[in-house]
Amino acid sequence: RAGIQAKTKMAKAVRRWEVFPGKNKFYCNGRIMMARQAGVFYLTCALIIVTSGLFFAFDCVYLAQNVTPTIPAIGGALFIFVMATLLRTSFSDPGVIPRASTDEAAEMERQQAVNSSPPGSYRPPPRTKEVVIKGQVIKLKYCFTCKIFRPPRASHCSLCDNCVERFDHHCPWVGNCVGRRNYRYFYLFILSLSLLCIYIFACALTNLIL
Amino acid sequence: MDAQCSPHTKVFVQRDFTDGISVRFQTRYPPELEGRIDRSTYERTINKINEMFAEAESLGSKTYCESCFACMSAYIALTCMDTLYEKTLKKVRHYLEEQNQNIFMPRGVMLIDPAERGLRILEIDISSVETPQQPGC
Repeated sequence: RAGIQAKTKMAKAVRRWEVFPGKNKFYCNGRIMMARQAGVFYLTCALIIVTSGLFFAFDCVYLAQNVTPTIPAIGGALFIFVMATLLRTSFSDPGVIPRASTDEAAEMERQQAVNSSPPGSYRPPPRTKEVVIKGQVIKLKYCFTCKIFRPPRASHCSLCDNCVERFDHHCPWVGNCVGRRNYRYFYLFILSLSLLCIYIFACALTNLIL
Repeated sequence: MDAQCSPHTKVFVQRDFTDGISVRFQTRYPPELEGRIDRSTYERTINKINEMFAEAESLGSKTYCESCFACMSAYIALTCMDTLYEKTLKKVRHYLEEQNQNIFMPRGVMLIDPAERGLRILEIDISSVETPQQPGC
């Protein structure tokens, strides 16, 4: 969690986001977490806000008078939902797995050295660990950057330099990775944005016809 | 173990995946705790933690209502209230703090909250200061 406090022995307490090892950027005292290159996100916001703004300014004025005032109401609700889910997707933690502490990494190295054959070669083989999940054998891959065995369906994002749980993809439009903890918001954003597009299109068409 | 000369021994309790990918930690008693914490106390603690996570991940009417309500409010309600899972993580943290305070720390053992490690492992910190017969450290 981005805002968890880690008390050190020194006088000042250090927040975890201040010493975060990945490439994420933090804002608002650690409440907001985004990727390093967030330029396209601002473009997304601008596109949505400008298009919706034009819709409200022109089509709604006409349609509210001539058809029914619920048209801008529904449009407004949809717009708020789109922006809320977009901001939730962009600003929240996608499910970053904290890197292993030096002690844990050392312990894993030690176990690996014990398990592998006597020192014939100095190149360590690619590391996997097998676990049995409900009777099926699954191989967990080792992440050399984060020094952990990734849980099933986790993946390392090279742009953010983090391992993310149930990693879907890194979305530049949203300016963040899409993983387990923000998948719901991302999916609803895409869905509601499609609905908003169709709605605005239909209303604009109605406006042109009438 | 070659950790006899370090001030801390660390044991890493891995996830128990036998029942699927829900959050569960292995209840196998680590041999490093021999003489400090008895088996039943340790297993009781781990089982309680597993129970709390199982409850958090269960699908009940409370979870459905919470999710629907949050969705209807365009997730703005989530800024004011904690979800069941977040409440459970807090519960686990308080439980571990209390257990550490009362049972584990007086014996030189500390359990680290798995949330600090991304719910991958449960770290046990064993301080070796109570064994003065270790030479030259």
